[in-house]
Amino acid sequence: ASAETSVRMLKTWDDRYAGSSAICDRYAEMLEEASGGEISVQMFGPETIPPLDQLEPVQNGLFQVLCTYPGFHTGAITLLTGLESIRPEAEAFRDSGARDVIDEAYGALGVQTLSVPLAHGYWIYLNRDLSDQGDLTGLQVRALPPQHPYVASLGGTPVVLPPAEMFSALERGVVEGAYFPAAGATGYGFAEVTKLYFDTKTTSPHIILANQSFWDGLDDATREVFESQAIVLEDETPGVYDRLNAEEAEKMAAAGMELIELSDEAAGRLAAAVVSGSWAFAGSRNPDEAARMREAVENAGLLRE
Amino acid sequence: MLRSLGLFHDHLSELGLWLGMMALAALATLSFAGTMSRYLLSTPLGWVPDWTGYTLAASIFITAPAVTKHGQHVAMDFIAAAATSRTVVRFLTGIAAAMTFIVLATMTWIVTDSLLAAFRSGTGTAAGYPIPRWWLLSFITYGFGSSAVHFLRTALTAFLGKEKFSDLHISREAN
Amino acid sequence: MPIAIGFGALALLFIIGVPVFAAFFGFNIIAALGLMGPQGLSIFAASILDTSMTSELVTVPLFILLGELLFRSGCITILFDAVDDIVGRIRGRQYVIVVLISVLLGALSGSAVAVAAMLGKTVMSEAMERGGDKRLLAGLVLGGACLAPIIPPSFLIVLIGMLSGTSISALLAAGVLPGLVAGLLFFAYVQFLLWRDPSRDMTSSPGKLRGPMWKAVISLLPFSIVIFAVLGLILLGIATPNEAAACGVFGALAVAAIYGKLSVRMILNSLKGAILMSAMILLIMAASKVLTQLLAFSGLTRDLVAFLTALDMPTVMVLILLMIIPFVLCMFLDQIALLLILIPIYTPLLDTFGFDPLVFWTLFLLNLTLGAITPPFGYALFALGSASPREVSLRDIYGASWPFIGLILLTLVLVWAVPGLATWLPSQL
Ligand code: NA
Ligand code: NA
Repeated sequence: ASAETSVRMLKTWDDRYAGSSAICDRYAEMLEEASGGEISVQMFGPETIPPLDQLEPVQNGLFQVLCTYPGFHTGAITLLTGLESIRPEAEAFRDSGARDVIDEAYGALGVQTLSVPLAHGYWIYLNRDLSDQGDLTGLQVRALPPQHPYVASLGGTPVVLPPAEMFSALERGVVEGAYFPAAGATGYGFAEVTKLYFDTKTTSPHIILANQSFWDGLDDATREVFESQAIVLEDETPGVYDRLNAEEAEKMAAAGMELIELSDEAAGRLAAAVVSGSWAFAGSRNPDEAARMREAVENAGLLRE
Repeated sequence: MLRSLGLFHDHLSELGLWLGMMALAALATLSFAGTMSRYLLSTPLGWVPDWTGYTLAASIFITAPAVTKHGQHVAMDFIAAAATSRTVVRFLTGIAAAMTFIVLATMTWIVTDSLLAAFRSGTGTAAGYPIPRWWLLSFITYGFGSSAVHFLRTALTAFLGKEKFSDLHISREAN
Repeated sequence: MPIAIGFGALALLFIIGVPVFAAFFGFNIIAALGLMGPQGLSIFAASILDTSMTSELVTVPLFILLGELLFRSGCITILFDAVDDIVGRIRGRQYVIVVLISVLLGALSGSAVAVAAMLGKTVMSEAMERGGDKRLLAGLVLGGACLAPIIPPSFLIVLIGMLSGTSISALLAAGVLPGLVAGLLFFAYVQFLLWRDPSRDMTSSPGKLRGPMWKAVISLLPFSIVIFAVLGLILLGIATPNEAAACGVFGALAVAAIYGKLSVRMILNSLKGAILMSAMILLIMAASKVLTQLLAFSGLTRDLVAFLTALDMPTVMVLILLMIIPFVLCMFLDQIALLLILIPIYTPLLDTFGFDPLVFWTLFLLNLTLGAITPPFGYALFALGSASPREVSLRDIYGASWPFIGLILLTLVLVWAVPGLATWLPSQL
């Protein structure tokens, strides 16, 4: 039996992104259930703290737990971007030793890493056909800067656009495509503004963090709940996302979206760019940790070819 | 001594205004050049959106003291507008300026705290073309701090008299 | 409780005449201390930085600069004279011209604040020099500013479409007719007012026609550069709103050059005016963003919505309630932040109560635009207060806004009663 613990949990997404409920709400639920109500979680979303500013209030204890995507705090740490290049296999990932590197790097920022749920994937949505070369040659594709090498490897021109402008830009043909998570695609409105999509076979790493002094102040039994439920969450996430993505694909088909395949040659170029690009960005703030983590996942055979 | 300090502060605010004007010209030119480059040369300038944001943030806060100095802030003017006596207007202006000084001084202290934290940790902006956050927070700190001083000078002028501390036009405040 | 104390402090600071942005920050400091303790203050800097480096907000200073350039070069006077000649003899023609120009400029911009500022600086001072009634003019400018987010292009519509999962193109099309209806209502209101009280019609220049209409039309042609730079580029899919605004600025420079009114001094003065006003507006926006975050943290907004929607009521009452909530909250909150809070809560209710998404979100949008012109905190009010001539006080502007709030509310009722206003155009796409 653990002491009563109340947690203010901050999450990055509103409910349009599946991870909001499948990862953040789910973890909160599991904590409350597994602790027999000893742990109570109060959830706060991006309307309380904007996505890009969420790490700091957890570091200084305004919130106890943060459920987010590492791309939103690359100003402080870029390490996790490298995980876009691995297969989302929870157990092999835990066994690889990569978590030690992550715990250490995030620990230096004053936060305890609770869980790193890996999910599959990202799609590229297009409002016109692939080029004659069967890739993105001549197309402008919206992507966040860490993913620009992926677009460039297919001959496309990566473009930075704020999310608010992305949909109208696609609709009006200002850009021809966008790199965006698969989960929740129809909810975001891609089916309205594009007609084709293909799977980029990249992984979305999520991360759940706790304020360090909050964590240090917990008793062993309560920590055990956080840790054991993190493992349950990590194990179930890839499967949940496979199901969600399959549902999404059905909705896309129903909305008239066509799923296309890249040629083996183009897919190979993309895969190589994902490996080199994601690790290059991971190393931009954390060169040593990125090298160690890459070695760990590579030895565990997790890197996608 | 006070007079030359005041003069220095005024000149600094005017310099900020000039920098803000240049920043706005840069924002227009940057966005225009970005558009032309994307559509005429098919070479989008990926750094334009990030640097647009940085320039905007810097321009707002480098200009903020001049906004105060030129009396361009919007305020509710019900009481001051109704007052007919110049002494009452002067008194109300002093109170409002003193309260504003307290708020802005507190804000300066708050953002200085974040500035120092950002400086120590070396955190960058979470962007494709990151820069250290403390660069931008310096502008914000300067904007609040210098504006606070302008309001302090206005309050002192209103309470202690004449143009000793500030040449701020009280009639403008009473608008 | 901290929120109540905070609002008390806010009201007090406003009454003594503390500038709006500083009063907001005063509220924020008190509310954050009460809600979160001293740690709460640590979110301020990040939030202010986040708001002030939002690249989409660049549209605001650029549209203000566009207005400054057209005004300080004297070009707006040419536009005004030309529309003047084209309108011909009609009751309250100077006001009708303001309505027309408002609609025209409103349809070029998506920002009520930018349009209010632009019109305040330009058309309003022109009309006042010609002897216009400052309150009626201020009201017309506020009404015209309201049209900007309703008639495409509109940044707010794109956000709503995105957040609610409704087709963006359909939503954009849905806004056109309601926007024009509101413009017609403004026209009718002016006619009614002057029919009741002809003395309010302008006494000076009661319709002196300077020249033939074809000359007026030709003198308007250079403006098509600006219109193309802004509206054309967006509709043709060449530029984002920011880029289009920047092209508009260069278009305005071209217009000034065509009329031989380009000078370094004029450009510098325009830059000065635009950056001073933009800094003032964006400071208020930053302060209001922090306030909205604190309200979200307190759970006040969410609880309020949850409570009101849990009541068991007829559908029409639910609709009215759902519309009253944003109407009231918009007086205090940032529109975009309010979108973030309300749309995810409202979206499931549409299915529950069977509301047509196009009609519902168009009503919601009309409501949001009201927020910009509703006292005491509407941004457009502050923007107009700062941009308009000195003899127009914030108190005048507050008074002027109410009839036009009424007219937009009437538009809301019309769209609800005749849903085709919102749904017909999208069905033609
Ligand atoms: Na518009
Ligand atoms: Na005014």
